[in-house]
Amino acid sequence: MKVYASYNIKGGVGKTTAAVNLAFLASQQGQRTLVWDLDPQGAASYFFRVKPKWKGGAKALIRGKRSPEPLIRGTDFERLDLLRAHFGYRHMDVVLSKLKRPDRRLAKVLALLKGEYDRVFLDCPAGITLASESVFRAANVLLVPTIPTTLSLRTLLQLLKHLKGEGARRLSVMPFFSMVDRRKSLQQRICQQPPNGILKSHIPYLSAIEQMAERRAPLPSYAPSSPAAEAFKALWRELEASDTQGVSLSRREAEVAII
Amino acid sequence: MKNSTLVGINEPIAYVLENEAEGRRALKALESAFSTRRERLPENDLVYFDTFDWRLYERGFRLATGCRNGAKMLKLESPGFSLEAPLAKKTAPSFGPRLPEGPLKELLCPILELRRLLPLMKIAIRSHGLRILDGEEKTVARVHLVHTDTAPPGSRRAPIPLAPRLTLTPIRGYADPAARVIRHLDTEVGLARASSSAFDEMLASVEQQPASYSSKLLLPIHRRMSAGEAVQVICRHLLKTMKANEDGVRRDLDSEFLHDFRVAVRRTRAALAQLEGVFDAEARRFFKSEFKWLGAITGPVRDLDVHLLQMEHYRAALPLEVRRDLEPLATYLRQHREAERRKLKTNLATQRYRRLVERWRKYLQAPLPEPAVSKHAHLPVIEVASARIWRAYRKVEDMTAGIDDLSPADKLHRLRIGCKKLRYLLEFFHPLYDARAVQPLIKSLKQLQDSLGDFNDLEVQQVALKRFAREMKHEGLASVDCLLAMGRLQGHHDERKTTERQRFAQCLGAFDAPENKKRFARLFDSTLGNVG
Repeated sequence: MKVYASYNIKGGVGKTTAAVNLAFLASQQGQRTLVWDLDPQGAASYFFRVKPKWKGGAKALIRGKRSPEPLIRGTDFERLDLLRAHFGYRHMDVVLSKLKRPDRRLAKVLALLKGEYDRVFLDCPAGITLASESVFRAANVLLVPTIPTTLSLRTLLQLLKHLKGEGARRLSVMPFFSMVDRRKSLQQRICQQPPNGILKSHIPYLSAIEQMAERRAPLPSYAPSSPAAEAFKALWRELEASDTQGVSLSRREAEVAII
Repeated sequence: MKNSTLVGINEPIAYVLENEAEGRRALKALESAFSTRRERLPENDLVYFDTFDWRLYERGFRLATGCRNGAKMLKLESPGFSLEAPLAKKTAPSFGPRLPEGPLKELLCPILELRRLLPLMKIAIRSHGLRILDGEEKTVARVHLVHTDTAPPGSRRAPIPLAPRLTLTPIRGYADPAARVIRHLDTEVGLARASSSAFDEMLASVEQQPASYSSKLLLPIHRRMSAGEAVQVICRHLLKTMKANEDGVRRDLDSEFLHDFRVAVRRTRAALAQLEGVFDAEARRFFKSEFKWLGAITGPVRDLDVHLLQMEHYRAALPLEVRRDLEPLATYLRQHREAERRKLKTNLATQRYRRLVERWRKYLQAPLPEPAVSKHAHLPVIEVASARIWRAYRKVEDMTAGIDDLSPADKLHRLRIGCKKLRYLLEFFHPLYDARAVQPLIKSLKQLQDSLGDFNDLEVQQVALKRFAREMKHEGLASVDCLLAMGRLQGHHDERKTTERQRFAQCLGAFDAPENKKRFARLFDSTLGNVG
C-alpha cells in the first residue's frame, strides 16, 4: 500500500483537485484506491457527492479505537473509494495532543486498511500542525502543489527545512507546480525549466479544473482528453515512473533555494 | 443493518429473465420508484482463463482479458474484490512469472506455480440499465439488463446466447438503498433470483465442467467390491488421467501435463507389478512391458524439465558474479529438451501407443478373468489390499533395519523404491480403511519419502550434471567458465546431501517409531484377525 499525501502549508493551491484526479487515474490503471478526506471542509467528499459526517466517531477513529470501515463509501467509479470527511477533524490537533506518539496515529488507522488498497491519497488541510506531522509519518510520498511565485517557493523551502529537521527520511517529497498562469511570463519561465527538486509536469491554471466543483466528478472521468486531464495524466505518469527514493531532501532544498 | 449480507460485498445480485421485455418492465418500474439515470455500458468482449486443474475456479477467482479505452487489460475478480493489470497488445496470459508486474502477479504466482493459464471461453457482454441516485445525485447502486453470448475459445461457431439477466450491483457503504431496490424487484416487480452464478452458466454453455480435473487420486472403491473390480476402477481412473493429459503433453502447454501423465503411468505399472494375482497372467505380461516402454519414452523430456525448473536453484546456489556463467547449461538443456520433445510427440503418434491404450481400455471394461487364470481377482478387495500392503510394509521394515544416515547411496535408493511401492498401494486402497487411522501412516511415509527423494534427486543431479558437462564439451557448448560453475554446483550438492542425510535420519526415526509399527500391524496384518 503506497500512501500519497496532497499537502501544502498554504491553502487554495490545488491540493484537493490533485488528490481526486490522481486517485481517479490510479484506479483506472487497476489500483485499488482510497481517498481519505482529512479536511473538515470536505471538498474531496463534495467532489464525489458524498456528504461529510457531522457528528460522532471522529475522536475514536483518530485514537484508533474504531475501524474506518463505516466511513468508507464507494464512489461512482470502479476500485475508487472515499474515506469521507468528518467535521470532527477540525479538532484533530486537540485530540492528537492528548495522545501518546500523536505523529503515529494516522499511520495506525491506515494500517487497519492494509491489504485492501494499493494506493491511498490523503487530502490534507492547510497549515502546519500536529495533524500534518502525523501525515508526514503516514505518507510515503508527499505531493506538494506549489504556485510558481516567490512567496510560495519560500513556503516550500520552509517546509523542506522543517522536514529535514524532523528527519523525515523515509518520506519522498515531490513538489510540483500548480495553478500555473499562462499569462504570467515569470511563472511560465519558472515552469519551463523547473529546478531539479521539482517535478517536470505541472498543472496549468484552467477554468476546466475550477469547473470540477460544478461537475462534482474527477476531471478525467468526463473530459478524458482535455488539456487539464492530460496535465494530470502527465503528472501521474511522472510520479509512477519516479524512483520513490528520489532526490535527497537536502539536495532538493538546495535546488529550490537557487531560484 | 437491514440487509447485512450485502455490506461490503460488491457481488451483483442477479435475476433470471424470461425475455428482454421482462427486463425492460423492471427497469421502467425502478425509474418510477427511484431517482435514476440511464446508462449504457460499452460492449465488453472477454476471454476467461484458468489452469487445466482449475486452480482459479477452486479459489473463487475469475481471470479474464478484455479491453478498456482501447487498452488491453487483465482482470482478476472474486466476490467483493477485483484487481487489474495492463496487458501488452496481442499477448495472452500464460505463466505466472510472465504476468505484468504488480499486485495481480504477486497474488497469482503462488497459486499458478508451474501451470499455464489456458483460455476457457470467449464472452461478449452487452448491458444497459440505470444508476440509482441519492439526493446528491451520487450513484448508490447500479441495475443492468445484461445479455451474454459465449463461445469456446478459438471456435468459429456462432456464439451461444444465454438467457438475459437483470443484475444489481451494490456500492460500498450504501447497503440500505441497495436493499430497498432489491425489495422492490422481489416484491413489486416479482422477479426470480438466479439460482446459479452467471459464470457457471457460461461455463455450462461451452460444455466446460468446473473442477473436472484433479491430479489427486479420489477413487470410488469400497469394501464390498472384489479385488478385480476395485483394481479395474483404479486403473480406469489412471487411464482417464493419462488421456486427459495427453493433449497438453502433445502441445507442450506446461510441464505438469507430462508430469501427471507419467505419475499415472507409474501408478499403473505399480498396480500391474504389485497386484499380480488380480490380472490374467498373459495380459499382465503384455501390459507390464508396454507401460514400461511408455515410462521410458516419456522419461527424457521430464528429466530435462526437472533440470530446467532447477536452473533457478542452480543459479541461486552460486555467488552472484558467476551465475551468468551457467547460461550455456540452460541453452544445452533447452536444445536437448526440444529434440526429446519431438521424439516424444512422434512416439505418442505411433500405432504402438494407440494400440496399448485401446487394449488396456478394453481389458479394463471386460468381465473379470476366470479364477483359473487370476487367482485373486474374485477375492474381497480388502483381503488382497491388506495382504499386499502388509507385504510391502514388511519389505520396507526389513530394509530400514540396517540403515542409518551413513548408509551407502544405493541402499537408500532401494529403500526409496520400497517406500514408493508401499505408498502407491496405500493411495490406491486408503478409501477401504478408516481415514483417521490411515492418514498418519501416509503422512509419516510421505515425509520419509520426501527426504529420501531429495537425497536421491541430488545424487541423480550430480550424475546428470557430469554427463551434461561431457556432452556440452562434445557439442562445443561448454565454456571453461560454465564448466567451473557446474563444478561449484557439484560441491554445493555434496554439502546439501549431508544435510539431507541428517533430515532423513529424523524422518526414519518417526516412521520406525513403535507406535507407527503398531498402527501398520493393527490395520493390515491379517494374522491379527482384523481383516474383512
